Amino acid sequence: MNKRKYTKTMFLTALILISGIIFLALMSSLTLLFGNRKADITDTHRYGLKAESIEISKQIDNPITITVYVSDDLDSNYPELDLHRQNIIRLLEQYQNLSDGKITLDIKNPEPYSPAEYEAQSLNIRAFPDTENTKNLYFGATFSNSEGERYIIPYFSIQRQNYAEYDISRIIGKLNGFNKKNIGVVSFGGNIENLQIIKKIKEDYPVKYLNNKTSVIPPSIQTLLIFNPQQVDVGFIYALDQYIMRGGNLILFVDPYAEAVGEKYPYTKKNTNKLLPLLKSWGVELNEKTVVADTKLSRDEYQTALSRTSNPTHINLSAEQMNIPNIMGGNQIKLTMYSAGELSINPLENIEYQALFSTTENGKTVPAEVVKFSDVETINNHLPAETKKYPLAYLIQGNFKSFFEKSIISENNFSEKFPPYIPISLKPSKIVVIADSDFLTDETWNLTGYQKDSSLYDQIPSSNNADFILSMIDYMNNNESLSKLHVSYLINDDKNIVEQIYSRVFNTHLKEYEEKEKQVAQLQSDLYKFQQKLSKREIGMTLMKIQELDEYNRRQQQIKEDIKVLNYQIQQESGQIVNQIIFANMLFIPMIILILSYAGVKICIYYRKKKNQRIINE
Amino acid sequence: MIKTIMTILKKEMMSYFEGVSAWVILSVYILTSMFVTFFVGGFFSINNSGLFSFFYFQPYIMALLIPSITMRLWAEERKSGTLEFLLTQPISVLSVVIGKYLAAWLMSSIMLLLSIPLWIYLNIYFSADNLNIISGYTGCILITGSFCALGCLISSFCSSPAVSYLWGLIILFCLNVSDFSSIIEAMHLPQIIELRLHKMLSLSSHYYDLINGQVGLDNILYFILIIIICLWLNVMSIDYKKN
Repeated sequence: MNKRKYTKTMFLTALILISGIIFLALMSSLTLLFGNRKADITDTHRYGLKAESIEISKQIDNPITITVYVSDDLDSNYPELDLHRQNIIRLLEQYQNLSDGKITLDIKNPEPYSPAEYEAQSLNIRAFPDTENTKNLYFGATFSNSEGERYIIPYFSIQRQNYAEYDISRIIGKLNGFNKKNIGVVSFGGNIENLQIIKKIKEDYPVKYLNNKTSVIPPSIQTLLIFNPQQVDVGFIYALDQYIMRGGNLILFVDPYAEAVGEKYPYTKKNTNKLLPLLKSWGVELNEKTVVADTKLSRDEYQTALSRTSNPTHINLSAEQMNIPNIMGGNQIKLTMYSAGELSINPLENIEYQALFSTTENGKTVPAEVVKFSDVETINNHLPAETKKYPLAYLIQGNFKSFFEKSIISENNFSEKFPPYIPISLKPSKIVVIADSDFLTDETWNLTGYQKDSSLYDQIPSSNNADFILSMIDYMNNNESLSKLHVSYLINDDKNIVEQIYSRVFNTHLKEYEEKEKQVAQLQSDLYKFQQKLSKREIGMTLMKIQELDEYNRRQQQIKEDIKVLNYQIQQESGQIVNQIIFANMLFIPMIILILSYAGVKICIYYRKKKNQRIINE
Repeated sequence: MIKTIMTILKKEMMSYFEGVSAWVILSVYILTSMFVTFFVGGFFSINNSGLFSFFYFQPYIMALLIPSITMRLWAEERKSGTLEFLLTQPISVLSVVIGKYLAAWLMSSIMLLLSIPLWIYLNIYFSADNLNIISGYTGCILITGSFCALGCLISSFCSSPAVSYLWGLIILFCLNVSDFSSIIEAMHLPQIIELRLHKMLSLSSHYYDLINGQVGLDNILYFILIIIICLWLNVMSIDYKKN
């Protein structure tokens, strides 16, 4: 008996061992044969590399080594990072597979006090503590080529996972035949050195800050960024004109009201822009007295959860407003502008004009003074009835004629430092005019803002403003493969189910909501006028006037209360829909299916039994 | 052989649905699944276009319920003494094993069908990534297939359904939780090989690839291999008993 049991156990153990070995052998051969090739079975192609990234990987001439420093215990300490780590490694493996052996991927585990950890620390790979605070963990990478160039991603932030492909493709592109020409930066409104966009540009290009009083722009500058020009000297206008004549490229941020800068630097001079005639000579005009508004694009700004303002001069532009097929893989980006100016063109011969982005057909203009000194309600009250599509940025390309008839610098002063006057462009220039200088400021596009120890790879952008500028610089510096990098997937606007339900319910009450908001705006405007009259003593403060004032306040309070009730109602209705979904999917539908199936099965059994009985009887 | 398989399949399916066991299992499945999806998986608070909240916990729910489907397949036959009768019939062991296995797999796939209304709901009222959901259901069907094969194998070793259920629950749960990391780490291999081995052996890693919409041949073949090996072991163990 015992022998039989022993034989049985041995037999089963042998079987299990053999099957385990077969399983391991087959799985290893499968991994060797098919590697880690995956099909992206998602509607949005979430995991596959974009065409532009594939092109970059295939065009590598200079071998690249990617070293990933990833701690083994990452997933046990931070389980949420496990999928992210797998995705990053899979992404890097995809680049490796596509590069035809030009990319070498090395993965290192920086164990405490190991050479890998010292290496990671010396390369500024960011260390973060494990959950028990006993040792450091790492999840970063270095990218280097055989010429000694090196780029570092100190930490693959999970919040930035949608940017991973863009970040990696950009670095690979930069390590392979990248034109690193000088970028000049001139500012007329405050210190822009701490702006995240400038740091982003510095990461890729040498940046030179030029004095806004300069009379000559060095020929080594390939692309010049001019930020919020005001009180411009004739000397600088001449320098700019001659820079364009020499074939320089320019990105110009002009603005009737630079509010982000204005808020930061309250003493900015009045915006009397002497640069406008030069712009006019290129065929572009800026109306400095008006600001463009668009109620269809206005950005919702929340003071509190219940108090939402919708400023029509703060606009979010999306795919429908873009016309940038040649850069950033198309139009699928989002840009944010604050109080943009009104641009128009007066086309010149042999010059190409392309409106890069515009408002909708619902665009309107408001006096700049109103926007500067009034609240949202007053701005809304000043919106005219007539609407039009307003271009907000132009790309101008071609050969220009000089704005000056002759040099403004005395002929005796000509030297290497002051090159001779050029009347007609020596080679074509590219000029981008953007009607908003706030476009660059962190507040407009960056949720993270400036943090002391943060890197560019920690930023969580809310709009693609910086990516757009960087792509334009790449485009102007003949780094087309980088300028084309797809960024449509960078902004994740996907709403969760509750948000989708809320916005659906909100839309059913939208008219009612807008009506109430209009009433509040109207009342506030009336109240403002009434108070103005009182302060100017056009009317006297009688008992009736006091009662009228009270009535205004009472009605305003009442409508605000109504809006609160409406908000509560929307929340209640959303909650009811959530409960309905739970009830329907957890109980109602499955139970109906089960009851019907049960009845169906029982009927079948009954008839089968009956049939069997009949056969037996026969 | 196919006729035998179909006959066994029909007989097993009838035995599930004639009693109350199938109805209890289906009800428990839908209640547990939806409860976990809505209240644990954060269905409403994350972007669920790929029904991630639903698929994420399926291996655990399946580990709980599939042993109850497979426990009686062989253990009950052995307990009631019908196994000897079955083995003396002029039918091959392989066809009986496959017939019983397919019945269990079909039963667990019917369980999954009950969640289809949620997919329809998502499509009608919200945005759904249908390809991702199809990939998720493929992952679910494959994982239930593997669990059923393992459950059948465990049942063939046990003499009572209760013992079979208990062993099934323990083994399937361990398989879900374990990623073989301690064994792999003990080998002191370079990290890239460790990562590959970890990915190659871990059931959850293959399953999560499928529910995330990243489908590789290795993911599908991993589950198919488990099914084939378990069925082969099942045949061998029944054959051993027969001889």
